[in-house]
Amino acid sequence: MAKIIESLNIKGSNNNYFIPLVNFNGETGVCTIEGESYLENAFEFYDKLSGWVDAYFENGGKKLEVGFKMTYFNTSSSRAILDFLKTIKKHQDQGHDVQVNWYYPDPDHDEMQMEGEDFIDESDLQMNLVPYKAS
Amino acid sequence: MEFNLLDYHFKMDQQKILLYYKGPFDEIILNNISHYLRGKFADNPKAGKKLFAIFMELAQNISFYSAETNYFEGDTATKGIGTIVIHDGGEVITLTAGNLVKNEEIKDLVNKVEEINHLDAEGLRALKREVMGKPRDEGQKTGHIGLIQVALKSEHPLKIESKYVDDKHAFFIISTDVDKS
Repeated sequence: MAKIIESLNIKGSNNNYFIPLVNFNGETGVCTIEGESYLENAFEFYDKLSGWVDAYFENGGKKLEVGFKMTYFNTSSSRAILDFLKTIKKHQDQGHDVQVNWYYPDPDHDEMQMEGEDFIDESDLQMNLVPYKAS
Repeated sequence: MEFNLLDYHFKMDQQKILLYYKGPFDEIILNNISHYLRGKFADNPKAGKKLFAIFMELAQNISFYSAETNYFEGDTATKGIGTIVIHDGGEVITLTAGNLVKNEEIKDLVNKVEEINHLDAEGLRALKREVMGKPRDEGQKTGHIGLIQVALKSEHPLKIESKYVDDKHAFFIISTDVDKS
């Protein structure tokens, strides 16, 4: 498979701010974002992810599969994630092959299922809510 | 005025204090206290995660919005100063946050908290979605949904109090509870 754009990889950490692990593959269109999100500038961080998705389709990307596996995000991140989901929704509306999975842990003490439901409600994005067994 | 640490210590000691912090709310403090809370409540993750999420929102409100700020060499931005107390109230854990606000900000804060306290969980979720869905303002840094999230997580009303400081400022206190079980 030919590379469409450069992959975007961000190393997750929680040394000061909580930075989620990001692996967006510019070849396969498989994108994952997981971990915790409390950032110095949440909008800047998630706008970068939106920019990558736009560039992926502008450069001929056909299929995008985004997986969210968040365990915590603050409300500033929440607002910024919504805008990122709206970007994905824009591509879904343009007829691109886009699949989005929102993974939530079982047991779900962080109420990630509810957060996922509220994101679907607010963005109108088609997103699958998928439980996983938490360790 | 000389600060009487002894007097202060014993006044605080009347309650079962888990944590008391006063100072600038920067990311290092938030990180450390959040890890402490999660560690402390490792055996009760439901309450621990609620406390953690509430602490993070109240602490960030202080960091962003306190009228009192501090700047140390090397900081990338000034950080708000405030106080957070977490104490064990028997059936519940209580978090209390206080910081200086400008007098003209109090009315909006009181209205916001009253609106929140009138809503049940579904109402809070609807309000959160409504506020989140608003277009982003120029220079907006936060989601403006912190207090709604605090109410959702705590499942208890938000209690507020404001104390006169001077013609321009008041000390604004907000507290809420988390059930231990």
